[in-house]
Amino acid sequence: MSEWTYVNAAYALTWITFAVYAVSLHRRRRRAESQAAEITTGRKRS
Amino acid sequence: MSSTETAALPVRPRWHRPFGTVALLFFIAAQAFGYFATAPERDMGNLQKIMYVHVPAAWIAFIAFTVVFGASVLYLWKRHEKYDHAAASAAEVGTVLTGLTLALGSIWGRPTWGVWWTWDPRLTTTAILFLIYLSYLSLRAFTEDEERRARWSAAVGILGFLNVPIVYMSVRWWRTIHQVQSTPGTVDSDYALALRLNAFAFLFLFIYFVASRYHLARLERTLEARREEAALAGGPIHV
Repeated sequence: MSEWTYVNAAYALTWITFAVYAVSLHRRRRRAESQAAEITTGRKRS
Repeated sequence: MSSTETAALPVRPRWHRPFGTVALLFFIAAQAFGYFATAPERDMGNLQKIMYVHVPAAWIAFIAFTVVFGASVLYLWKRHEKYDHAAASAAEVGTVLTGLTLALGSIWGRPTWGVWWTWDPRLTTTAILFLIYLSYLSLRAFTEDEERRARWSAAVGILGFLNVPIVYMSVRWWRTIHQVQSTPGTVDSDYALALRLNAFAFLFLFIYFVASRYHLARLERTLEARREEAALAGGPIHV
């Protein structure tokens, strides 16, 4: 493999890691917000 | 307690989103500089460019675990949950960065040393550091009682930090194929500039990620409080 293959792999891995982590944080935040809202709504209905 | 008294959802600080945008733009610029604008190094050739992601990831992971250590000490002293949230947030981002450091080092090691992995003291102590903070995150995930989780995590956060200076000094204390730390005096100014730019880029992303994770920790705490309120009120819990 050429040295550029390793360089490209390193940069791609860095970007993918940060992107996946950012998306994971976003999805966990949205899920927590919607669950908190569901509890409140459920209590108001009852 | 009536439904109108439910714990309010925490709001993200106003600086958070614009800071994230600036951090991302700075990261793109720093990466582009390291990838396109730096010359190949005499011995390593273009593999030198891997240093502009590998070294900043390692440096900022050290900063992350220093934050974990400081926040853990503060938690045990003050017993305020904000310090526990801060420690947990920095530990999670630091673990991601340490895993990335190991993977990037492996990608660099294969063409340079001829192996993906070797039990070199620097690599081994870094792998131990990674496992310590994976254990820290597992401990948090599997301990339900909030106060006990925070106390035990703080203990692991403090003890785990003892490995950070060992990782840093390993290249000086033991015979190792991993090179010793470079300084601005031992590398060309172009390489030093690319390293510095990317170190700041990683630092800004680190701050953004820790702030996001901290906000998530507060949200999860509010969610727990609402579940408790709903259970006490006898209402349905939709989770």
